[in-house]
Amino acid sequence: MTVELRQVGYSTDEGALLEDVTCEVREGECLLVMGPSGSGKTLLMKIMAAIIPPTEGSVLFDHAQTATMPDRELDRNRLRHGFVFQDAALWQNLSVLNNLTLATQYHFPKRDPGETQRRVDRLCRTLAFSEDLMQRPARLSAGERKTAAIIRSMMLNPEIYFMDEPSGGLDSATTNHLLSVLKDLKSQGRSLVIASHDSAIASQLADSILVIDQGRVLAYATVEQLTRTTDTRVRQILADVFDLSSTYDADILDILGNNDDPFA
Amino acid sequence: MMNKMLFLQNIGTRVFETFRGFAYAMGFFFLVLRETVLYIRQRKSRRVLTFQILFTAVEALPVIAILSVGLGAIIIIQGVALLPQFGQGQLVYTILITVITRELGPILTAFIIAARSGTAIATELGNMVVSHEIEAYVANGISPISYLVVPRFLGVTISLVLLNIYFNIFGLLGSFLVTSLVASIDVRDYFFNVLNALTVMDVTVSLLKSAVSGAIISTVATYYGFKVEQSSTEVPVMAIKSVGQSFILLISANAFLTVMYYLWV
Repeated sequence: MTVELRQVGYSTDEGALLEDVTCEVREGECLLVMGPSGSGKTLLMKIMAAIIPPTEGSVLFDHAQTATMPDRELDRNRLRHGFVFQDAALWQNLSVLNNLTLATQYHFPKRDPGETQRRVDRLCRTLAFSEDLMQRPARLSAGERKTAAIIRSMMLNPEIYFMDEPSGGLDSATTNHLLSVLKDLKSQGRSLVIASHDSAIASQLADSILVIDQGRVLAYATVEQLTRTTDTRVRQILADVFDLSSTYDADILDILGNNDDPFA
Repeated sequence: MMNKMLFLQNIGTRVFETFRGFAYAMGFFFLVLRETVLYIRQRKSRRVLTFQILFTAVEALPVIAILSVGLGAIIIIQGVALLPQFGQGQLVYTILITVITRELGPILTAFIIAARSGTAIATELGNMVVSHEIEAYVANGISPISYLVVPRFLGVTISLVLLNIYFNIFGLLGSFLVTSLVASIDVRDYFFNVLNALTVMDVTVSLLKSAVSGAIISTVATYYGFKVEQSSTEVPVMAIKSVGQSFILLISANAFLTVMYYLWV
């Protein structure tokens, strides 16, 4: 599935939160969205996934404008997405199991519940999620909630994943599981849009990187191009994001240019 | 001069915002109606609807029973004490039906449900907005209107109609209990007189008022729940606004239907 943004902007009464964003994610590609906190990454991801409509510009799914799609068609297209929210956004009034299975039950009421349960079990095993699925999300830790949200996003086997800080709150073992799952997904031709500060994700998954600050795109380039950038602001943001303020020049090249995690 | 201009500008802005809010609310209401028709046709899971009816109707039964028995008793006591003084003792049953079935039944059950379930719905949805749960429904291709609003709309409307019938039964029972304490009256005579005073139109208007009230409460509560934007401090504010707005609309709608009834009959 291809998702494309054309001159997208988002404004409220208080001003512009996002300005003139143009980018594209093709099948099997990984776009990494980077920027300091409050730069508009989450908003951009939600606009890309057609959760929030932009106030300017257009969003296209497979070259079709979302603005002109009927609601039902838009909902059908959303089934091709998996979205992981920064704060997990699990439904608090449902058990963890119901969180994982609701979309399947809602969209495919005739599907064999046994098949759905097997998929839940398989994904839980893959991401080493061994918590009691009958409990409410409030009883889980932040990392467990995030893992549950990642599993929920994978339940319908979507074609494109939007993940807002997917490794935030996860321990290193689960992050490694996640990384290997993401690599698998990419190798299967799934597209990934990830907002992350994780250097491993940046180095091992990203095909292109979108750097934004205060709602504006500072750079949109392939990893290779970005390693050669001379834009000091972009380099500064990359250094801040990776927390390398003292020696950012050499380290950014290491992180983005190498396929190995320099922190591993 | 500058102050006057500013004053006029403020009034203009407020009027514009009021009209914009009204237009938006009407759009929301018609969207809910459209989705309700689709929901009934599609025969999807009724889990949320069942829970809504359980919460709105079943859990409100005790408070409504107490209120209706008490009111039925008060009305019959006042009627028996006052009407014979004007030589109109036989009107006591008509007044009972008019007050309990046509007026108090629909409006009081609506007030109780607006204060109880309306607040709960606005608060629940408001909290879901703040915790991004509504966006999670959208992200999963589940329309929040279809999945969250429509079952609440139907649940509250059906519950109010049922609770109104329940209120009437207990109200008339309460009045009978009091009557039987002060005078030996045969249960068959009492209910024969009550049913004699009751017309099809009374029942129709009463149930119509309940259905309209249910639609008002659920629409207003869900509308204000969704009006929460970011902060959890907005949730109680919207819940209070939801109850206030519901009360105003409930009184207006009931008054309108009462007037229409007298114009029609």
